[in-house]
Amino acid sequence: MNVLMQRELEGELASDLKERIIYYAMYGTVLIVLTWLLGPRVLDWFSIMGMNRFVSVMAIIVVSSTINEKLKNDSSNRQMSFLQTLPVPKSQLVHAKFLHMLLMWAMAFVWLSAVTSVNLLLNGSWTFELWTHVWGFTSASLFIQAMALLCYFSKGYRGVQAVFYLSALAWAAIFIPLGLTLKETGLSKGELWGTALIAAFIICGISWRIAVRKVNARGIPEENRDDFVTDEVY
Amino acid sequence: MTHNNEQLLLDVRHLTKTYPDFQLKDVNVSLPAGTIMGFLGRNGAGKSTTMKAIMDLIKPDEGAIHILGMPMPEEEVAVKEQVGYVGDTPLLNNAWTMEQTLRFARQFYPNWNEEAVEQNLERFAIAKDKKISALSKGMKVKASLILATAHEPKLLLLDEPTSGLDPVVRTEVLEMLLDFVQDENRSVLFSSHITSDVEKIADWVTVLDDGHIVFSEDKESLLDRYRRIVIPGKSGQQATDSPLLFHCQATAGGYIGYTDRFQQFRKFATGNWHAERLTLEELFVLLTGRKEA
Repeated sequence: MNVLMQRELEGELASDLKERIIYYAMYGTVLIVLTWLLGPRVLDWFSIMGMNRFVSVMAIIVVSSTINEKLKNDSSNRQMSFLQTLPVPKSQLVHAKFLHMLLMWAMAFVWLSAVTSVNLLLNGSWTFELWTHVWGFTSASLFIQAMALLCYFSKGYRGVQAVFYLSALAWAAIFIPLGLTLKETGLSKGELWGTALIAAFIICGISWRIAVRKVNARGIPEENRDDFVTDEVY
Repeated sequence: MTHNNEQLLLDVRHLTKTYPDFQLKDVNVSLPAGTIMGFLGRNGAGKSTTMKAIMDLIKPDEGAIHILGMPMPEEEVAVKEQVGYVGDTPLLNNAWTMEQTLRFARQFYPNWNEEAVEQNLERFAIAKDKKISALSKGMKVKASLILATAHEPKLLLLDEPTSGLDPVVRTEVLEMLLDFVQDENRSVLFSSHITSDVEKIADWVTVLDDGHIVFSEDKESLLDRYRRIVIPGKSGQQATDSPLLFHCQATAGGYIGYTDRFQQFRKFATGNWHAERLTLEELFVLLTGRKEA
Protein backbone atom coordinates (compact mmCIF):
# COMPACT_ATOMS: atom_id res chain seq x y z
CA MET A 1 0.00 0.00 0.00
CA ASN A 2 2.87 2.39 0.83
CA VAL A 3 4.35 1.85 -2.60
CA LEU A 4 1.02 2.57 -4.27
CA MET A 5 0.61 5.74 -2.21
CA GLN A 6 4.11 6.90 -3.08
CA ARG A 7 3.20 6.40 -6.72
CA GLU A 8 0.01 8.44 -6.31
CA LEU A 9 1.86 11.23 -4.55
CA GLU A 10 4.63 11.41 -7.08
CA GLY A 11 4.75 15.01 -8.22
CA GLU A 12 2.79 16.28 -5.23
CA LEU A 13 4.93 15.23 -2.30
CA ALA A 14 7.34 12.43 -2.99
CA SER A 15 9.93 14.12 -5.16
CA ASP A 16 9.95 17.81 -4.27
CA LEU A 17 8.08 18.42 -1.04
CA LYS A 18 10.20 21.43 -0.05
CA GLU A 19 9.71 23.09 -3.44
CA ARG A 20 5.97 22.52 -3.26
CA ILE A 21 5.69 24.05 0.21
CA ILE A 22 7.64 27.13 -0.89
CA TYR A 23 5.52 27.42 -4.05
CA TYR A 24 2.18 27.28 -2.24
CA ALA A 25 3.41 29.59 0.56
CA MET A 26 4.46 32.15 -2.08
CA TYR A 27 1.19 31.72 -3.93
CA GLY A 28 -0.78 32.29 -0.71
CA THR A 29 1.31 35.36 0.15
CA VAL A 30 0.69 36.89 -3.28
CA LEU A 31 -3.06 36.36 -2.85
CA ILE A 32 -3.00 38.00 0.60
CA VAL A 33 -1.06 41.00 -0.74
CA LEU A 34 -3.48 41.22 -3.69
CA THR A 35 -6.42 41.21 -1.29
CA TRP A 36 -4.78 43.97 0.73
CA LEU A 37 -4.19 45.99 -2.44
CA LEU A 38 -7.55 45.40 -4.14
CA GLY A 39 -9.56 45.14 -0.93
CA PRO A 40 -10.99 47.79 1.42
CA ARG A 41 -7.59 48.72 2.87
CA VAL A 42 -6.25 50.33 -0.34
CA LEU A 43 -8.25 50.38 -3.62
CA ASP A 44 -11.52 49.03 -2.25
CA TRP A 45 -12.39 47.25 -5.50
CA PHE A 46 -13.32 43.93 -3.89
CA SER A 47 -14.57 42.83 -0.47
CA ILE A 48 -12.39 40.49 1.59
CA MET A 49 -15.00 37.74 1.38
CA GLY A 50 -15.18 38.23 -2.39
CA MET A 51 -11.43 37.68 -2.58
CA ASN A 52 -11.65 34.68 -0.23
CA ARG A 53 -14.33 33.13 -2.43
CA PHE A 54 -12.13 33.67 -5.45
CA VAL A 55 -9.17 32.00 -3.66
CA SER A 56 -11.42 29.09 -2.62
CA VAL A 57 -12.68 28.52 -6.15
CA MET A 58 -9.09 28.60 -7.39
CA ALA A 59 -8.12 26.00 -4.77
CA ILE A 60 -10.96 23.68 -5.84
CA ILE A 61 -9.96 24.05 -9.48
CA VAL A 62 -6.29 23.34 -8.70
CA VAL A 63 -7.07 20.21 -6.63
CA SER A 64 -9.65 18.92 -9.13
CA SER A 65 -7.28 19.51 -12.05
CA THR A 66 -4.45 17.71 -10.26
CA ILE A 67 -6.62 14.66 -9.62
CA ASN A 68 -8.14 14.77 -13.10
CA GLU A 69 -4.67 15.00 -14.67
CA LYS A 70 -3.49 12.02 -12.62
CA LEU A 71 -6.46 9.90 -13.72
CA LYS A 72 -5.96 10.99 -17.33
CA ASN A 73 -2.25 10.10 -17.29
CA ASP A 74 -2.94 6.74 -15.68
CA SER A 75 -5.59 6.04 -18.27
CA SER A 76 -3.55 7.10 -21.30
CA ASN A 77 -0.60 5.01 -20.08
CA ARG A 78 -2.88 2.08 -19.15
CA GLN A 79 -1.46 2.18 -15.65
CA MET A 80 -4.48 0.58 -14.01
CA SER A 81 -3.98 -2.41 -16.30
CA PHE A 82 -0.29 -2.43 -15.40
CA LEU A 83 -1.01 -2.21 -11.67
CA GLN A 84 -3.43 -5.12 -11.99
CA THR A 85 -0.64 -7.31 -13.34
CA LEU A 86 1.27 -6.78 -10.07
CA PRO A 87 0.71 -9.01 -7.05
CA VAL A 88 -1.54 -6.59 -5.23
CA PRO A 89 -5.27 -6.83 -4.44
CA LYS A 90 -7.42 -4.67 -6.69
CA SER A 91 -9.10 -3.12 -3.66
CA GLN A 92 -5.75 -1.55 -2.72
CA LEU A 93 -5.67 0.25 -6.05
CA VAL A 94 -9.01 1.82 -5.14
CA HIS A 95 -7.83 2.64 -1.62
CA ALA A 96 -4.71 4.34 -2.96
CA LYS A 97 -6.74 6.59 -5.26
CA PHE A 98 -9.22 7.58 -2.56
CA LEU A 99 -6.50 8.13 0.04
CA HIS A 100 -4.58 10.28 -2.42
CA MET A 101 -7.70 12.29 -3.07
CA LEU A 102 -8.33 12.75 0.65
CA LEU A 103 -4.74 13.81 1.22
CA MET A 104 -4.98 16.36 -1.58
CA TRP A 105 -8.23 17.57 -0.09
CA ALA A 106 -6.66 17.87 3.39
CA MET A 107 -3.73 19.85 1.98
CA ALA A 108 -6.12 22.19 0.17
CA PHE A 109 -8.17 22.55 3.36
CA VAL A 110 -5.12 23.52 5.44
CA TRP A 111 -3.81 25.90 2.78
CA LEU A 112 -7.19 27.50 2.22
CA SER A 113 -7.83 27.85 5.95
CA ALA A 114 -4.45 29.52 6.41
CA VAL A 115 -4.73 31.91 3.46
CA THR A 116 -8.32 32.97 4.11
CA SER A 117 -7.72 33.33 7.87
CA VAL A 118 -4.63 35.51 7.35
CA ASN A 119 -6.64 37.49 4.81
CA LEU A 120 -9.40 38.08 7.32
CA LEU A 121 -6.95 38.92 10.13
CA LEU A 122 -4.84 41.36 8.11
CA ASN A 123 -7.43 42.97 5.92
CA GLY A 124 -10.58 42.79 8.04
CA SER A 125 -11.55 40.85 11.13
CA TRP A 126 -11.52 37.07 11.61
CA THR A 127 -14.71 35.46 12.87
CA PHE A 128 -15.59 31.77 13.05
CA GLU A 129 -18.71 32.34 10.95
CA LEU A 130 -16.70 33.96 8.16
CA TRP A 131 -14.05 31.25 8.29
CA THR A 132 -16.64 28.46 7.91
CA HIS A 133 -17.03 29.30 4.22
CA VAL A 134 -13.86 27.18 3.81
CA TRP A 135 -15.95 24.18 4.91
CA GLY A 136 -18.46 24.94 2.19
CA PHE A 137 -15.91 25.16 -0.61
CA THR A 138 -13.93 22.16 0.55
CA SER A 139 -17.14 20.11 0.89
CA ALA A 140 -17.80 20.86 -2.79
CA SER A 141 -14.27 19.76 -3.65
CA LEU A 142 -14.61 16.51 -1.69
CA PHE A 143 -18.01 15.71 -3.21
CA ILE A 144 -16.88 16.39 -6.78
CA GLN A 145 -13.73 14.29 -6.47
CA ALA A 146 -15.49 11.39 -4.76
CA MET A 147 -18.03 11.29 -7.60
CA ALA A 148 -15.24 11.47 -10.19
CA LEU A 149 -13.40 8.54 -8.59
CA LEU A 150 -16.59 6.50 -8.37
CA CYS A 151 -17.10 7.12 -12.09
CA TYR A 152 -13.46 6.21 -12.81
CA PHE A 153 -13.80 2.84 -11.12
CA SER A 154 -17.24 2.18 -12.61
CA LYS A 155 -16.97 3.38 -16.19
CA GLY A 156 -13.34 4.33 -16.71
CA TYR A 157 -11.87 7.73 -17.45
CA ARG A 158 -14.26 8.48 -20.29
CA GLY A 159 -16.97 9.91 -18.07
CA VAL A 160 -14.81 11.56 -15.44
CA GLN A 161 -14.76 15.10 -16.83
CA ALA A 162 -18.52 15.16 -17.32
CA VAL A 163 -18.94 13.93 -13.74
CA PHE A 164 -16.68 16.76 -12.48
CA TYR A 165 -18.99 19.36 -14.04
CA LEU A 166 -22.26 17.58 -13.18
CA SER A 167 -21.26 17.08 -9.55
CA ALA A 168 -20.24 20.74 -9.26
CA LEU A 169 -23.63 21.73 -10.65
CA ALA A 170 -25.46 19.33 -8.33
CA TRP A 171 -23.61 20.64 -5.28
CA ALA A 172 -24.26 24.24 -6.31
CA ALA A 173 -27.95 23.47 -6.99
CA ILE A 174 -28.37 22.19 -3.43
CA PHE A 175 -26.22 24.46 -1.31
CA ILE A 176 -26.25 27.86 -3.07
CA PRO A 177 -30.05 28.27 -2.69
CA LEU A 178 -29.72 27.18 0.94
CA GLY A 179 -26.93 29.73 1.47
CA LEU A 180 -29.07 32.49 -0.02
CA THR A 181 -32.05 31.68 2.19
CA LEU A 182 -30.18 31.26 5.45
CA LYS A 183 -32.38 33.71 7.35
CA GLU A 184 -35.56 31.90 6.31
CA THR A 185 -34.22 28.49 7.19
CA GLY A 186 -32.92 29.65 10.55
CA LEU A 187 -29.53 28.05 9.99
CA SER A 188 -26.24 29.79 10.74
CA LYS A 189 -23.43 29.78 8.13
CA GLY A 190 -21.45 27.43 10.34
CA GLU A 191 -24.38 24.99 10.56
CA LEU A 192 -24.98 25.09 6.80
CA TRP A 193 -21.35 24.58 5.75
CA GLY A 194 -20.76 22.10 8.56
CA THR A 195 -23.70 20.04 7.25
CA ALA A 196 -22.32 20.33 3.71
CA LEU A 197 -18.92 19.06 4.87
CA ILE A 198 -20.35 16.15 6.86
CA ALA A 199 -22.60 15.23 3.90
CA ALA A 200 -19.56 15.32 1.59
CA PHE A 201 -17.61 13.02 3.92
CA ILE A 202 -20.52 10.56 4.07
CA ILE A 203 -20.90 10.59 0.27
CA CYS A 204 -17.15 10.12 -0.10
CA GLY A 205 -17.24 7.11 2.26
CA ILE A 206 -20.18 5.58 0.39
CA SER A 207 -18.51 6.17 -2.99
CA TRP A 208 -15.31 4.57 -1.72
CA ARG A 209 -17.19 1.51 -0.52
CA ILE A 210 -19.18 1.18 -3.74
CA ALA A 211 -15.98 1.54 -5.81
CA VAL A 212 -14.27 -1.27 -3.85
CA ARG A 213 -17.30 -3.53 -4.21
CA LYS A 214 -17.64 -2.83 -7.92
CA VAL A 215 -13.96 -3.45 -8.55
CA ASN A 216 -14.00 -6.68 -6.57
CA ALA A 217 -17.07 -7.90 -8.43
CA ARG A 218 -16.48 -6.62 -11.95
CA GLY A 219 -12.85 -5.54 -12.10
CA ILE A 220 -11.44 -2.17 -13.10
CA PRO A 221 -12.81 -0.80 -16.40
CA GLU A 222 -10.48 -1.35 -19.31
CA GLU A 223 -8.35 1.56 -20.42
CA ASN A 224 -7.37 2.55 -23.88
CA ARG A 225 -4.27 4.44 -24.92
CA ASP A 226 -6.15 7.56 -25.90
CA ASP A 227 -8.29 7.59 -22.73
CA PHE A 228 -11.56 8.38 -24.28
CA VAL A 229 -12.16 5.43 -26.54
CA THR A 230 -12.65 2.03 -25.01
CA ASP A 231 -12.93 -0.04 -28.18
CA GLU A 232 -12.44 -3.59 -27.12
CA VAL A 233 -9.40 -5.47 -28.40
CA TYR A 234 -10.55 -9.04 -28.66
CA MET B 1 -6.04 -30.62 -25.10
CA THR B 2 -4.86 -33.24 -22.65
CA HIS B 3 -1.57 -33.51 -20.85
CA ASN B 4 -1.26 -36.75 -18.99
CA ASN B 5 -0.08 -36.48 -15.41
CA GLU B 6 1.96 -33.40 -16.18
CA GLN B 7 2.12 -30.44 -13.85
CA LEU B 8 -0.19 -27.86 -15.38
CA LEU B 9 0.99 -24.29 -14.97
CA LEU B 10 -2.18 -23.03 -16.60
CA ASP B 11 -5.57 -24.69 -16.73
CA VAL B 12 -8.47 -22.79 -18.26
CA ARG B 13 -11.86 -24.51 -18.35
CA HIS B 14 -15.01 -23.43 -20.19
CA LEU B 15 -14.05 -19.79 -20.34
CA THR B 16 -16.89 -17.69 -21.68
CA LYS B 17 -17.19 -13.96 -22.07
CA THR B 18 -19.90 -12.13 -23.96
CA TYR B 19 -19.64 -8.63 -25.38
CA PRO B 20 -22.38 -6.95 -27.42
CA ASP B 21 -20.62 -7.83 -30.68
CA PHE B 22 -18.39 -10.73 -29.73
CA GLN B 23 -18.45 -13.91 -27.69
CA LEU B 24 -15.65 -16.03 -26.34
CA LYS B 25 -17.17 -19.50 -26.24
CA ASP B 26 -16.18 -22.32 -23.96
CA VAL B 27 -12.42 -21.88 -24.26
CA ASN B 28 -10.27 -24.61 -22.71
CA VAL B 29 -6.49 -24.24 -22.51
CA SER B 30 -4.01 -26.22 -20.47
CA LEU B 31 -0.31 -25.66 -20.41
CA PRO B 32 2.20 -27.99 -18.76
CA ALA B 33 5.59 -26.89 -17.44
CA GLY B 34 8.41 -26.43 -19.94
CA THR B 35 6.13 -25.60 -22.85
CA ILE B 36 5.74 -22.69 -25.23
CA MET B 37 2.20 -22.59 -26.48
CA GLY B 38 1.50 -20.51 -29.56
CA PHE B 39 -1.95 -19.05 -29.32
CA LEU B 40 -2.91 -18.33 -32.90
CA GLY B 41 -5.86 -16.45 -34.21
CA ARG B 42 -6.86 -13.67 -36.55
CA ASN B 43 -7.29 -10.16 -35.19
CA GLY B 44 -10.50 -10.21 -33.19
CA ALA B 45 -10.49 -13.99 -32.66
CA GLY B 46 -10.49 -13.63 -28.87
CA LYS B 47 -6.81 -14.04 -28.00
CA SER B 48 -6.55 -10.80 -26.01
CA THR B 49 -9.83 -11.46 -24.24
CA THR B 50 -8.59 -14.89 -23.18
CA MET B 51 -5.25 -13.48 -22.01
CA LYS B 52 -6.92 -10.67 -20.09
CA ALA B 53 -9.36 -13.07 -18.46
CA ILE B 54 -6.45 -15.28 -17.37
CA MET B 55 -4.77 -12.23 -15.80
CA ASP B 56 -8.09 -11.13 -14.26
CA LEU B 57 -7.94 -7.85 -16.17
CA ILE B 58 -11.47 -8.63 -17.29
CA LYS B 59 -14.06 -10.76 -15.52
CA PRO B 60 -15.26 -13.80 -17.48
CA ASP B 61 -18.96 -14.65 -17.48
CA GLU B 62 -18.26 -18.33 -16.91
CA GLY B 63 -15.35 -20.68 -16.51
CA ALA B 64 -12.58 -21.63 -14.13
CA ILE B 65 -8.94 -20.58 -14.29
CA HIS B 66 -6.16 -22.24 -12.30
CA ILE B 67 -2.58 -21.05 -12.44
CA LEU B 68 0.06 -23.22 -10.77
CA GLY B 69 -2.83 -25.11 -9.25
CA MET B 70 -4.22 -21.97 -7.61
CA PRO B 71 -7.67 -20.64 -8.51
CA MET B 72 -8.02 -17.20 -10.06
CA PRO B 73 -9.03 -14.64 -8.95
CA GLU B 74 -9.24 -16.05 -5.41
CA GLU B 75 -5.45 -16.43 -5.15
CA GLU B 76 -4.71 -13.42 -7.33
CA VAL B 77 -1.80 -12.05 -5.29
CA ALA B 78 0.03 -15.37 -4.87
CA VAL B 79 -0.55 -16.21 -8.54
CA LYS B 80 0.70 -12.88 -9.85
CA GLU B 81 3.97 -13.28 -7.96
CA GLN B 82 4.58 -16.21 -10.31
CA VAL B 83 3.22 -14.77 -13.54
CA GLY B 84 4.65 -12.27 -16.00
CA TYR B 85 2.39 -10.50 -18.48
CA VAL B 86 3.06 -8.40 -21.56
CA GLY B 87 -0.06 -6.79 -22.97
CA ASP B 88 -1.06 -6.16 -26.56
CA THR B 89 0.26 -2.62 -26.06
CA PRO B 90 3.09 -1.99 -23.57
CA LEU B 91 1.71 -1.14 -20.13
CA LEU B 92 4.48 1.32 -19.38
CA ASN B 93 4.22 4.83 -17.98
CA ASN B 94 5.61 7.13 -20.66
CA ALA B 95 6.42 9.78 -18.07
CA TRP B 96 8.81 7.47 -16.22
CA THR B 97 12.31 6.35 -17.03
CA MET B 98 13.15 2.65 -17.24
CA GLU B 99 14.91 3.04 -13.88
CA GLN B 100 11.77 4.46 -12.24
CA THR B 101 9.66 1.69 -13.75
CA LEU B 102 11.96 -1.03 -12.48
CA ARG B 103 12.36 0.61 -9.06
CA PHE B 104 8.60 0.76 -8.67
CA ALA B 105 7.90 -2.81 -9.83
CA ARG B 106 10.68 -4.48 -7.83
CA GLN B 107 9.01 -3.50 -4.57
CA PHE B 108 6.17 -5.93 -5.26
CA TYR B 109 8.21 -9.07 -5.88
CA PRO B 110 10.17 -11.02 -3.26
CA ASN B 111 12.08 -12.95 -5.93
CA TRP B 112 13.17 -10.02 -8.10
CA ASN B 113 16.39 -10.86 -9.95
CA GLU B 114 18.38 -7.64 -10.34
CA GLU B 115 21.26 -9.43 -12.03
CA ALA B 116 18.99 -10.80 -14.77
CA VAL B 117 17.46 -7.34 -15.22
CA GLU B 118 20.90 -5.77 -15.70
CA GLN B 119 21.87 -8.50 -18.16
CA ASN B 120 18.70 -8.05 -20.18
CA LEU B 121 19.04 -4.26 -20.20
CA GLU B 122 22.52 -4.72 -21.60
CA ARG B 123 21.42 -7.40 -24.04
CA PHE B 124 18.70 -5.14 -25.46
CA ALA B 125 20.78 -1.95 -25.12
CA ILE B 126 18.15 -0.11 -23.07
CA ALA B 127 19.53 2.80 -21.06
CA LYS B 128 17.97 2.94 -17.60
CA ASP B 129 17.85 6.72 -17.55
CA LYS B 130 15.94 6.94 -20.83
CA LYS B 131 12.30 7.94 -20.62
CA ILE B 132 9.83 5.30 -21.76
CA SER B 133 8.29 7.86 -24.13
CA ALA B 134 11.66 8.09 -25.90
CA LEU B 135 11.78 4.34 -26.61
CA SER B 136 10.74 2.92 -29.97
CA LYS B 137 7.90 0.40 -30.18
CA GLY B 138 10.36 -2.47 -30.36
CA MET B 139 12.30 -1.15 -27.37
CA LYS B 140 9.08 -0.80 -25.39
CA VAL B 141 8.25 -4.44 -26.06
CA LYS B 142 11.74 -5.43 -24.94
CA ALA B 143 11.40 -3.22 -21.84
CA SER B 144 8.05 -4.88 -21.10
CA LEU B 145 9.65 -8.30 -21.45
CA ILE B 146 12.46 -7.34 -19.06
CA LEU B 147 9.85 -6.16 -16.57
CA ALA B 148 7.69 -9.26 -17.01
CA THR B 149 10.58 -11.67 -16.48
CA ALA B 150 12.45 -9.79 -13.73
CA HIS B 151 10.74 -11.69 -10.93
CA GLU B 152 11.51 -15.05 -12.57
CA PRO B 153 7.89 -16.03 -13.17
CA LYS B 154 6.88 -19.62 -13.75
CA LEU B 155 4.35 -18.59 -16.38
CA LEU B 156 4.76 -15.89 -18.98
CA LEU B 157 1.69 -14.59 -20.80
CA LEU B 158 2.48 -12.60 -23.92
CA ASP B 159 -0.30 -10.97 -25.86
CA GLU B 160 0.89 -10.33 -29.43
CA PRO B 161 4.35 -9.18 -28.32
CA THR B 162 5.86 -9.32 -31.82
CA SER B 163 2.99 -7.64 -33.63
CA GLY B 164 4.20 -4.63 -35.60
CA LEU B 165 7.89 -5.25 -34.92
CA ASP B 166 10.60 -5.55 -37.55
CA PRO B 167 12.08 -9.02 -38.19
CA VAL B 168 15.31 -8.29 -36.27
CA VAL B 169 13.50 -7.24 -33.10
CA ARG B 170 11.04 -10.14 -33.49
CA THR B 171 13.93 -12.55 -33.63
CA GLU B 172 15.51 -10.99 -30.51
CA VAL B 173 12.22 -11.29 -28.64
CA LEU B 174 11.77 -14.91 -29.72
CA GLU B 175 15.33 -15.73 -28.66
CA MET B 176 14.64 -14.28 -25.25
CA LEU B 177 11.57 -16.48 -24.93
CA LEU B 178 13.58 -19.55 -25.87
CA ASP B 179 16.13 -18.62 -23.19
CA PHE B 180 13.32 -18.18 -20.71
CA VAL B 181 12.04 -21.73 -21.11
CA GLN B 182 15.50 -23.23 -20.74
CA ASP B 183 14.33 -23.71 -17.17
CA GLU B 184 11.85 -26.52 -17.69
CA ASN B 185 9.68 -25.42 -14.81
CA ARG B 186 8.57 -22.43 -16.82
CA SER B 187 6.04 -22.04 -19.60
CA VAL B 188 4.97 -19.38 -22.06
CA LEU B 189 1.58 -18.70 -23.56
CA PHE B 190 2.32 -16.60 -26.60
CA SER B 191 -0.52 -15.15 -28.62
CA SER B 192 0.07 -14.02 -32.16
CA HIS B 193 -1.40 -13.82 -35.61
CA ILE B 194 2.10 -14.20 -37.06
CA THR B 195 2.24 -17.93 -37.74
CA SER B 196 5.94 -17.95 -38.61
CA ASP B 197 6.82 -16.73 -35.08
CA VAL B 198 4.71 -19.44 -33.53
CA GLU B 199 6.18 -22.06 -35.86
CA LYS B 200 9.70 -21.00 -34.83
CA ILE B 201 9.34 -21.35 -31.09
CA ALA B 202 6.13 -23.08 -30.03
CA ASP B 203 5.89 -26.71 -28.90
CA TRP B 204 2.15 -26.61 -28.82
CA VAL B 205 -0.31 -24.73 -31.02
CA THR B 206 -3.78 -23.60 -30.08
CA VAL B 207 -5.89 -21.92 -32.73
CA LEU B 208 -8.72 -19.65 -31.78
CA ASP B 209 -11.24 -18.50 -34.35
CA ASP B 210 -14.31 -16.35 -33.81
CA GLY B 211 -14.18 -16.90 -30.06
CA HIS B 212 -13.79 -20.66 -29.98
CA ILE B 213 -10.88 -23.09 -30.08
CA VAL B 214 -10.47 -24.75 -33.47
CA PHE B 215 -7.72 -27.08 -32.33
CA SER B 216 -5.04 -27.37 -29.69
CA GLU B 217 -2.29 -29.82 -30.41
CA ASP B 218 1.41 -30.58 -30.26
CA LYS B 219 2.94 -28.65 -33.18
CA GLU B 220 4.97 -31.53 -34.63
CA SER B 221 2.18 -34.10 -34.54
CA LEU B 222 -0.17 -31.51 -36.01
CA LEU B 223 2.16 -30.80 -38.91
CA ASP B 224 2.76 -34.55 -39.34
CA ARG B 225 -0.94 -35.28 -39.48
CA TYR B 226 -1.88 -32.83 -42.21
CA ARG B 227 -0.78 -33.01 -45.83
CA ARG B 228 -1.73 -31.43 -49.11
CA ILE B 229 -2.34 -34.27 -51.56
CA VAL B 230 -1.61 -33.47 -55.19
CA ILE B 231 -3.14 -35.80 -57.79
CA PRO B 232 -1.84 -35.05 -61.27
CA GLY B 233 -3.96 -35.54 -64.40
CA LYS B 234 -7.68 -35.46 -64.98
CA SER B 235 -8.03 -39.16 -64.25
CA GLY B 236 -7.48 -38.51 -60.57
CA GLN B 237 -10.98 -37.18 -59.93
CA GLN B 238 -12.08 -40.51 -58.47
CA ALA B 239 -9.37 -40.31 -55.83
CA THR B 240 -10.84 -37.04 -54.53
CA ASP B 241 -13.93 -38.99 -53.41
CA SER B 242 -11.85 -40.48 -50.57
CA PRO B 243 -13.39 -39.76 -47.15
CA LEU B 244 -9.85 -39.03 -45.95
CA LEU B 245 -9.62 -35.96 -48.18
CA PHE B 246 -11.33 -32.64 -47.77
CA HIS B 247 -11.32 -29.27 -49.53
CA CYS B 248 -10.69 -31.03 -52.85
CA GLN B 249 -10.48 -28.84 -55.89
CA ALA B 250 -9.50 -29.07 -59.52
CA THR B 251 -6.35 -27.30 -60.66
CA ALA B 252 -4.82 -26.77 -64.08
CA GLY B 253 -2.70 -29.88 -63.70
CA GLY B 254 -5.08 -32.17 -61.83
CA TYR B 255 -6.58 -32.11 -58.34
CA ILE B 256 -5.60 -30.95 -54.88
CA GLY B 257 -7.06 -32.09 -51.58
CA TYR B 258 -6.09 -32.08 -47.93
CA THR B 259 -5.98 -34.83 -45.36
CA ASP B 260 -5.76 -34.69 -41.60
CA ARG B 261 -5.01 -38.45 -41.40
CA PHE B 262 -1.99 -38.70 -43.60
CA GLN B 263 -0.70 -42.04 -42.26
CA GLN B 264 -4.08 -43.66 -42.93
CA PHE B 265 -4.34 -42.03 -46.35
CA ARG B 266 -0.90 -43.34 -47.28
CA LYS B 267 -1.94 -46.89 -46.45
CA PHE B 268 -5.05 -46.91 -48.58
CA ALA B 269 -4.38 -44.49 -51.40
CA THR B 270 -3.67 -45.90 -54.82
CA GLY B 271 -2.66 -44.39 -58.14
CA ASN B 272 -0.46 -41.46 -58.84
CA TRP B 273 -0.28 -38.85 -56.10
CA HIS B 274 2.22 -37.07 -53.91
CA ALA B 275 1.97 -35.35 -50.54
CA GLU B 276 3.24 -31.94 -49.50
CA ARG B 277 3.88 -30.94 -45.92
CA LEU B 278 2.00 -27.80 -44.91
CA THR B 279 3.49 -24.85 -43.12
CA LEU B 280 1.72 -23.72 -39.98
CA GLU B 281 0.47 -20.69 -41.86
CA GLU B 282 -1.06 -22.82 -44.61
CA LEU B 283 -2.64 -25.05 -42.02
CA PHE B 284 -3.97 -22.08 -40.10
CA VAL B 285 -5.56 -20.59 -43.24
CA LEU B 286 -6.96 -23.99 -44.19
CA LEU B 287 -8.59 -24.62 -40.82
CA THR B 288 -9.88 -21.18 -40.10
CA GLY B 289 -11.37 -21.15 -43.58
CA ARG B 290 -10.04 -17.81 -44.66
CA LYS B 291 -7.57 -16.53 -47.15
CA GLU B 292 -5.38 -14.42 -44.91
CA ALA B 293 -3.90 -14.95 -41.47
